[in-house]
Amino acid sequence: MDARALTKVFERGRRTWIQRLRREPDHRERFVAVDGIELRVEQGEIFGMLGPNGAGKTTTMRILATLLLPTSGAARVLGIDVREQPREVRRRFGAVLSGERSLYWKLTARENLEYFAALYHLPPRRTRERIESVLDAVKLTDRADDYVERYSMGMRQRLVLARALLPDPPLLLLDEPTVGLDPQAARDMRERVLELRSEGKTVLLTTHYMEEADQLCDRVAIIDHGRIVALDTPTALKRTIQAEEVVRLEIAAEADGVVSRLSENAQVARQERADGLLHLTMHTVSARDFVPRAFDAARAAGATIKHVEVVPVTLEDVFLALTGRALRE
Amino acid sequence: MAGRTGAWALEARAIVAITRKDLRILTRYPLEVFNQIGQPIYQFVIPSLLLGATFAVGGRAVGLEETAGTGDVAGFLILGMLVAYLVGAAFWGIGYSFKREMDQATLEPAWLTPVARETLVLGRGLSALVLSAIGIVLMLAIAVALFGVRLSPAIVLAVPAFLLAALAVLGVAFLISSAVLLIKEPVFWVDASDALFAAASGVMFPITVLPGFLKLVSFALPTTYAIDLLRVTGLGARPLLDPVLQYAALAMLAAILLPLGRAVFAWADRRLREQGTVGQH
Repeated sequence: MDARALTKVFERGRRTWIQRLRREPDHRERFVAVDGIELRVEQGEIFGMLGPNGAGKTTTMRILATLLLPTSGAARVLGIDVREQPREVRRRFGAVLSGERSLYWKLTARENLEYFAALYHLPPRRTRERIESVLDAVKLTDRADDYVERYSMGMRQRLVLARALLPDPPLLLLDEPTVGLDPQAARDMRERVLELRSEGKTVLLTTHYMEEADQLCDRVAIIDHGRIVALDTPTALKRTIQAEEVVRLEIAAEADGVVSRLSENAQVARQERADGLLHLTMHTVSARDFVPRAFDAARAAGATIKHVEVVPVTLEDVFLALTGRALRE
Repeated sequence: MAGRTGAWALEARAIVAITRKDLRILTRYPLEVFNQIGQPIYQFVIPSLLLGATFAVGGRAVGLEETAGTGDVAGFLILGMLVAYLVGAAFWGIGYSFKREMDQATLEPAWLTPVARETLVLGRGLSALVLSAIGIVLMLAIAVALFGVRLSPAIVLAVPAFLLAALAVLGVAFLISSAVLLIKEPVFWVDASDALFAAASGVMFPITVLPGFLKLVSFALPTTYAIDLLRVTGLGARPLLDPVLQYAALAMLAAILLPLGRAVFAWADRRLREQGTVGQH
């Protein structure tokens, strides 16, 4: 699957027929949701698009899923153009895009799957076997004849995944597959995604959970304001910030020069004031060496360090280093 | 060729699956089944029949006899309602059902499958027709048992007219579905156009009593001719036009409305892809 110079611009507001007929200038506000995205997903890999809400991940996903036409650029899924042959593209993927609400709650899981099997053009002789197979894959066999309205949110999300797996597609598109799930359900879902890769399927997923991208993805594209700002393996991305550890400090009574003194020993990734404290995020090669020096520097500047936290480098830090903002902002 | 036959079979299977799904869901709301089938009868048909009986003289509606050539007000209304069920199926059973699916967030997963978009319309059409057929049978039973309606066996001659009208109304269903997919608040438009369609077709009264401008609308509607041909053959009513001309008009309208509806629906699908609104609710 690949995308070249993919762009999507939305127009806000209305342009009436009268305005069109009169050929009046179009004053609608334009919002660039996807801005020249280039990516290539290799067969059999889990490829993640990581970014904050509104970054353009879901819009990109919806273009690839043929739900949305790009304003410009091209995208091909398994070699087929999404713009020119959308039906052919739809024969080749399963998708989890609209969350657990997108089921018929007054039908059982099996009835839901029977309906979608027909829409996926599964031959009748294969339908029963595929339904049993996907129910087993998401561990819902024993609840298959219960109404969906009696399911937990995690069970419904698993059923949505089962629906995507019905046609046994080579490609899965998963948009925020664990959002809203409790920790156990999210863990189950992530395990299932890893199993999909071991079955030889290609997975494209979006997430704004850095741990999820780190844990699941072979490669990650970090997206911000509709652009890919970095694309590599999670390990390689974390290496780009040239730090082994992250030290978070909370400093009271900031005196002049404390930040500049600290920055002599580590890189200041982020600073903000909240609750009367200065919150600093520092990137360092060794927290063991840096922390004592930080106390010395604070003391010398007449400030007090109230709290120290040492954590490993994550993709959140990569995003922070690249954009100056946290993923959840 | 075999591939094409197979493709048709898969689309036909999807149509049946959509119908089965709709009917299954409906049966889980028993009162809704009663409401959908019974409401037109107890809110509309029975009061109208009673009103007609009130003004009848010796069982004959003299005024109606003068304007339409039949004094059988009950038969006149029943045959109008028969076509009204068809129109209701197109506007609500097909068109507005897309709005319900959008609100439930179940339209988007259907849109993500390789099934032909038109199949989604036809599947809804079949389930709406099944419900309409039940309603029609019930209505006819009540009309015959309680109001003494007797239809001439010659009414079978109007079956081709009914089928042609059904094809044309299917074209209208495609148009309504397109509007429902693109308009944010379609309920008013569906309700108003359904009412106008039924009124201008002469469901409840002869179109000769309509003001001039609405009469023009009537002659542009396939249902006007279907209702009239049903009344001519079933009740011996006076035809609006020569029946041959009416058949020609019906065939022409079906030949225009069905391709037009399909083309507009394909355009609406493209607009949805431009706007990305199929998943919005």
